[in-house]
Amino acid sequence: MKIALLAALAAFVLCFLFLCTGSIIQKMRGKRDFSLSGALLLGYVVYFSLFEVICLACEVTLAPLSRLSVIMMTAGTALMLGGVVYCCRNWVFRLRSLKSRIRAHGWLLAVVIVLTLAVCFFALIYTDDSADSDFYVGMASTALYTNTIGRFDPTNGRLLKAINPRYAYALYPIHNAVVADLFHIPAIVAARSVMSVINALVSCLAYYKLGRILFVQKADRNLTLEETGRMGDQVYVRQNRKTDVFTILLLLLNLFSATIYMPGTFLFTRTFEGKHLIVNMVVPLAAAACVAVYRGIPEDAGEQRYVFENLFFLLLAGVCFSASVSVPALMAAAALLPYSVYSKKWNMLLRLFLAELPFLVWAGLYILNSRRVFILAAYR
Amino acid sequence: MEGITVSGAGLSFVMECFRKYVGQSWEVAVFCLAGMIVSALIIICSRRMMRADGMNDVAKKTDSSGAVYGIGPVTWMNWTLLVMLALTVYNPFLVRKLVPRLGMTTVYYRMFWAFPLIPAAAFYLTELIFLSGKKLLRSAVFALAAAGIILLMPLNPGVRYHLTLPDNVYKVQGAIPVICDAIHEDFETSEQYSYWKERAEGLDLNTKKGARTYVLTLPRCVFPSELEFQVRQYDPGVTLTFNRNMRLFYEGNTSTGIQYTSKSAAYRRRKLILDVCRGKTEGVTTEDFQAAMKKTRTQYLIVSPSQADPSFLKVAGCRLVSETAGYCIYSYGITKEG
Repeated sequence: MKIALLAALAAFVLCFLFLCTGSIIQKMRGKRDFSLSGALLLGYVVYFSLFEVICLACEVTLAPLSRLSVIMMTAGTALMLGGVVYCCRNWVFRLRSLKSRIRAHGWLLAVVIVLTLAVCFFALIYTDDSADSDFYVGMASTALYTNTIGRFDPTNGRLLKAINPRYAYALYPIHNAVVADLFHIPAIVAARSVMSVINALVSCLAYYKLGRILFVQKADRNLTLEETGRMGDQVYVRQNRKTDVFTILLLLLNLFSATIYMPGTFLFTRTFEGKHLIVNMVVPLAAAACVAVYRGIPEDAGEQRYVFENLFFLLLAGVCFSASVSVPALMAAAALLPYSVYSKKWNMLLRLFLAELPFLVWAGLYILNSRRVFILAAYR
Repeated sequence: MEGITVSGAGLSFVMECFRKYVGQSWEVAVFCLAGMIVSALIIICSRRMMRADGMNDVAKKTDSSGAVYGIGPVTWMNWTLLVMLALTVYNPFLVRKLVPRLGMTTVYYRMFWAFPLIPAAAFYLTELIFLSGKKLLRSAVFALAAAGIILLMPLNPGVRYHLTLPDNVYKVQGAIPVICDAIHEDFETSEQYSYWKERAEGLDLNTKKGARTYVLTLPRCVFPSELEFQVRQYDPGVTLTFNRNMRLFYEGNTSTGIQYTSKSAAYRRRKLILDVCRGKTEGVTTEDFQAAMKKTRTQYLIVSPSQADPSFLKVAGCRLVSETAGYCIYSYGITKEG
């Protein structure tokens, strides 16, 4: 019972941390009326980008896990305090308009919420005895038990000669060990319950966010101010309804996908893996970024760079999640490269290159590491 | 992907992989492609009509029909993405050369994630639902679409076979905590544990010697297949004789792409131990078994009483530590203090 309560507390604190992180960034970008779900998503991505950088530094220097935990606790506390002080008013303002926003959704929102809760519930009860689970959860358990980062083989507990390049940079499982360390819960509970549920929730939000971008409606510019207001409301309601229907259909299609290779399997059964986050969060959000560029939103040219900033954080967090980060990186490049050339937006090419930088750096390090130009030693 | 190799499938490798990837959910792929084709045709036709009507660019921008600003950019992006991927990672000629070199044969299916097939299908389905201006008709089409997905498409295999409440908060089989406790209780009163614990205390875990000595303070075990992959998730204080790939290969799973032959002495020894645990003692001498146990430093065998041969294990020098949670725990080469 104590473990279950601590696990629930951990899930709550982590969600609040992601919300604070995202809110601070949104406010720094000058958005006054920001979305809470968008802030949580952005916060999740930025937090894991930060974690990747700090954890990689700790891994290379053979620092103990406890040191990483202390660093993350300090950073997390600072972010939460900053969020409360800096963004509290915005949250209250946003919550005040909750009623009208719920009304704009109608009963479809209830179906979306029920389906999202069902995905979270399934992530919570799912029991896995697969070899992959053994590796990823074992990596967290081993790190916590030995107070090290990635230096022992998680599948049998032996000392590694060198850290395997395939897993050396995908440090998401170590985050589970950090959560377990900070909240005094077993690593298996942190990985398979706490983070699993958060990941399931974040994936559903990512799909919802994709829907919001897909169904952005353009208001008619020839209308009068009064008409624009009325039309704006109608457009807003239509976008909400379409997004809700899209999310429902998407979750149903995932639930009724026939093979173990499709994203649905990862969404419902493998939420504790970094691969799940790649296919069900990074890919949809990268697709949303691509659609935003094709649609030319946000309309303000200055704000368009935020799309590429988001893509940068997304790919950096993707490096943390799995070596499969090459998939969203490839997708973004394949969609945006021809577009920028066709539309002769040359500065977009530079932005795309900068956004892809985390992936390119990772790919370079991975190749050099695999060819043994350098190795990441497991001991001094 | 399992069972499909570049050498076997040749140029049809990508197609074979795609067929296996979508399986019985081929309706999704068909619907997505149909949506992309129809949308592209609508956009082309509407643009031609605009040109024929002499509409200028300003008029186009204020078009609220949805043809340009609704499905247009998404369809354009989908086609661009599909063509680019078809030229690169879905290009059979390129894939035939690159995939084996990159060691991606078993994980090629991930390349299909690069084209968001399900979101694209859901997008076109949603647009189809909202095609009608009448709310009642929209609701009917939505209900029909949802019912079609639920009734016609197969439930995800992960969901189908795993919808049960877990045994405990750790989500592992109930036997695992009991067995791990019994092993630790026995091992921590042994001479071996005291010896290595004492030696490990003064050493730095960051050095090779320190880390290796530390590993020797942990019991090394072989578990039955239903428990093997759960043990170290729950208790990393237990080390295992098998690593993941070797164990999967023994169980007949070749999805990792790694093969072990009889030339591999490490695999041969481990296979022999596991054969004995499963009662396959025919042709196995106690000397071979003892040599394999010593060489692999295996200290505990957890066996199912219905499978193992207790007389063979006893003759070979194994000691029954306890019989708990439906399994027998045998120790080998463990001497008690005092």
